[in-house]
Amino acid sequence: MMAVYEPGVEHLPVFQQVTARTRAMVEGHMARIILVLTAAAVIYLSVPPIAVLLFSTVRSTQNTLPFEATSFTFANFVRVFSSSVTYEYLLNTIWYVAGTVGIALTIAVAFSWFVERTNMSLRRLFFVLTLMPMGIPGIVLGMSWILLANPSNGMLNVALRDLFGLDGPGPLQIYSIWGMIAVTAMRFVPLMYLMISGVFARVDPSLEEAGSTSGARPWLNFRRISIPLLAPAILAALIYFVVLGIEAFETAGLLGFPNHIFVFSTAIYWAIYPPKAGALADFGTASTYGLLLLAAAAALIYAYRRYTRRTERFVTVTGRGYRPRLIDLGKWRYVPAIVMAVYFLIAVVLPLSVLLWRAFSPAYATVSISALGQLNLNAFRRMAQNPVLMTAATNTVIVGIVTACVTMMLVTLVSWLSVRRRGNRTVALTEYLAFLILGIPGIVLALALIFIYGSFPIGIYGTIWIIILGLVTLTIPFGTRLMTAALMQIHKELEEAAETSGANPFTTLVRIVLPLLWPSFLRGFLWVFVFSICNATVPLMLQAYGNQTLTVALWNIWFAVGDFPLACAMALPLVVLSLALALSVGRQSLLVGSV
Amino acid sequence: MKKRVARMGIVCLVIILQGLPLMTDQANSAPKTAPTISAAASVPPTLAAAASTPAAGQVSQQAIQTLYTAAKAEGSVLWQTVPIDPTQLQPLINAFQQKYPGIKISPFALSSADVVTRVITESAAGSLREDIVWSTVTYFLPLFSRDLVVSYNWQSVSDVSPSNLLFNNRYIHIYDSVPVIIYNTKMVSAADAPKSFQDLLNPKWRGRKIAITNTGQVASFLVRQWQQDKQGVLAQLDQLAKQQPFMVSTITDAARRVASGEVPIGYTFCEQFRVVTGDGAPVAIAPVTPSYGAPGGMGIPKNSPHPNAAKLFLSWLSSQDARPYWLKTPFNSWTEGAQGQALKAAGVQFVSLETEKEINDLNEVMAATVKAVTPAK
Repeated sequence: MMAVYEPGVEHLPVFQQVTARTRAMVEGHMARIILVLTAAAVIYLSVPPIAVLLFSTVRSTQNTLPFEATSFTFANFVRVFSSSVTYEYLLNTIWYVAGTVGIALTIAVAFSWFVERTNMSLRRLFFVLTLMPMGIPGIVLGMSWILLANPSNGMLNVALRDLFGLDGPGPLQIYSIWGMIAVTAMRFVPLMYLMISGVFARVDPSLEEAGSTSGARPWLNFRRISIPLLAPAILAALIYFVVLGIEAFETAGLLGFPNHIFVFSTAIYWAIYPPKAGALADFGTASTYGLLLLAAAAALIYAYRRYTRRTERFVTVTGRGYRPRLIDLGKWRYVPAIVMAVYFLIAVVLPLSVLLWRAFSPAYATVSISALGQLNLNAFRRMAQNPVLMTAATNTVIVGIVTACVTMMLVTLVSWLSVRRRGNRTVALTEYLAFLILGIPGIVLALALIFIYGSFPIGIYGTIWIIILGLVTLTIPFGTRLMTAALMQIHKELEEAAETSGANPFTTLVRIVLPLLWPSFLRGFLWVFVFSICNATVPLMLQAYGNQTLTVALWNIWFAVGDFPLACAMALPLVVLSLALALSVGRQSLLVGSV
Repeated sequence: MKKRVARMGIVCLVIILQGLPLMTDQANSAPKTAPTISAAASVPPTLAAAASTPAAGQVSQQAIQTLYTAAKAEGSVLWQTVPIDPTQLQPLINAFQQKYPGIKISPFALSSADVVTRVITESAAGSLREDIVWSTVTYFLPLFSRDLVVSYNWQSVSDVSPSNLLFNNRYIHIYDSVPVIIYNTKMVSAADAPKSFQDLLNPKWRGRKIAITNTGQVASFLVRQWQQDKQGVLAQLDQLAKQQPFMVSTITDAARRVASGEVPIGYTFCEQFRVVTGDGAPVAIAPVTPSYGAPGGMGIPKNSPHPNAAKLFLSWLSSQDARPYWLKTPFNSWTEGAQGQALKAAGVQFVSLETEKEINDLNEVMAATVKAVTPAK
């Protein structure tokens, strides 16, 4: 990086000389400063929890905590790998994750292509509707589907039995591996859609036009040109959600427990919250499972980095002008709209209807015409009068916004360094660590934070700041993948032109790169915000008096207090907020020409 | 672009500034390790000598006053409660604060499974936040073994019955969590409802028709038999596993599944039965008797931030003064109030397990149930 030279500075007053020379020095080392600060932040966030995880795996933690055990041991590894249930968990997990990610990715890719690349009917509306379910916490979605499809008296089952004259229980069985897959896939679709739809919008249509000119039909164009160009984004989504699927606990627990279907995430949960009354959390076993996830994440990122080694293969945004062109579906333009409408009905309208019914109806009232006369606002009154909920709402907004801001700023820097400074060892280490975090289950991360910050006297233990720290850590992998995939599509000639004109790296980043990344940045911001406000694991583990978020309050009210109507009433503002954000992102995307 | 970033930056700054007071408030309200101020430390030596050793069983007003003075200096109590709607505890809190102004009570609901690990971890780190821990005594055993609970002369400041002071005055038994089998009256008639644990093993209840927790608590009905005939109990637990019970993670969840009609019968505690019937659920208690359970109550962890305020509040909670307010909550003795009436109507007798051996027996039979009923564990 060339130093900025300011002629005649020696004639200025001393103070101004010092200021000018300091500025010149900083600008001269700007790239290195950015690298050091970014690497330091990622190392600070990732290394201590990984270290605690590794430490716990080699401590005997049967009825002791890791810091209480007096010796190191490999007993946790022996116990985990010699137990047949580990392999049962593994098989169930593979089945569960493969099904979930396969279905969700297929739907997300299809929807992304429909909305971003074709002239389907009402594509702007469906862009927003697809994002809408993001704000529904997993626990709420799970419970909605239990109310809809539990084999005894689920609303859908009762309706189907009445319609077809069937005997109970069933015919739908939500407490099954397929029930788990379907509901988790519905949760993943908007998140995946958000991750990959942006890059669909940025594919240079001239490449597809060249294919068409050579005689390729739309499907061949899509398969041989579009998909390879979109491969980094799709692969990033696949890798990320495979690990997310392995860790997903809420749905697996809600729908798997009653029928004894256990997966890895359930195993970790049981290790932390053992069924035996008065027993301590078995961090050794939980951390050993966590280490397996870490190893899987490390292997996945290695494969990803090898695949995307030559980034120019994926460039679609260059210094030459381009204008996204929509594929004309002709008389078929209504078909995608019908498909997406049916999906929306199943994935959004049905669960939301159940939520609304439960929020306004008396507890345990069955759906009937006569029950319509009993609808009331009691749950909303209880919500307004509950002092914990008001504080929780404030905490939730602060946590969501601060987490999203910090994460997106950090991951933009990480991604920029990763794509533009390949070959630098510090950058490689930073990128590895940023992704390795994905392998740490949220529960184990939260416990590591308790150990670390419960001991450090820096005053964040028991506050919302420790929750923000945990959520920033958890969202770094997603944000990094999203921004890296987006950056890969931007040719470096744009930045080279800026540098040639005298801009320092920071100026180039802010004035050239960020505007091009803005749609992806916004999508990432939204994703992190929604993830933060919907995440239950980290805030639940780190909850203390006064720092509870809405999902923690929701969890406590649902599981511990058992007030269904109040929990449903609380879920509605989260859904409304999610819709508002989806509308906002949709509007922004419209402004920049995407959708 | 610059304006957009600047706007976002200003919004973020505002949000961060909103959050800062939350950080300082938390830090200020829960000092890491307050020095333990004994009840007598702030009192002139002559009065302290007079107050220090009241006769056994004799409440000393002087001791209460001394404790109150020290408690007011501390100013607040962080009361970890079982998971409950906090508004249900408000009558208790209001009554205490009216009698002892200047002490703020902050209830904070946390599950029993969570609180044990949290107290041990925070104590080791010197950052304990909870002043009073509320749970059944089963969950206190790891805390007792690590000497993390205060032993105090409760009878000097409270008219609590000596029989309610357990484990060397470290735990006060305040209410009874009575295990019951409940049934949905729209799905099961009174004649068909189980009359004993063995009735649960009837094939008519096979196939996700019995809601039980994954902690094995349903085996509390077998604890006496476990003490005499372990093999017989294990055989029954194997049969219970063959019933393919509907597994849930909390007793609240079990009560709700039965109340909603998803499952016809289930195991829960009487307080949960009262909560769901209060909401109008068609549920009744099955006459499965006797019922065995561990006492419900509280203790004070060592090195809590506000030890004197905690002692004053807990002494009041365990006193006769507080009984009328406890009756307004679901947490009563098994013969008292609405709980007593419900159990009497169902013909259920309760036996409280109060020695360490009895509680260990209960833990053993519960662990055996978990092993039998949950194939993956």
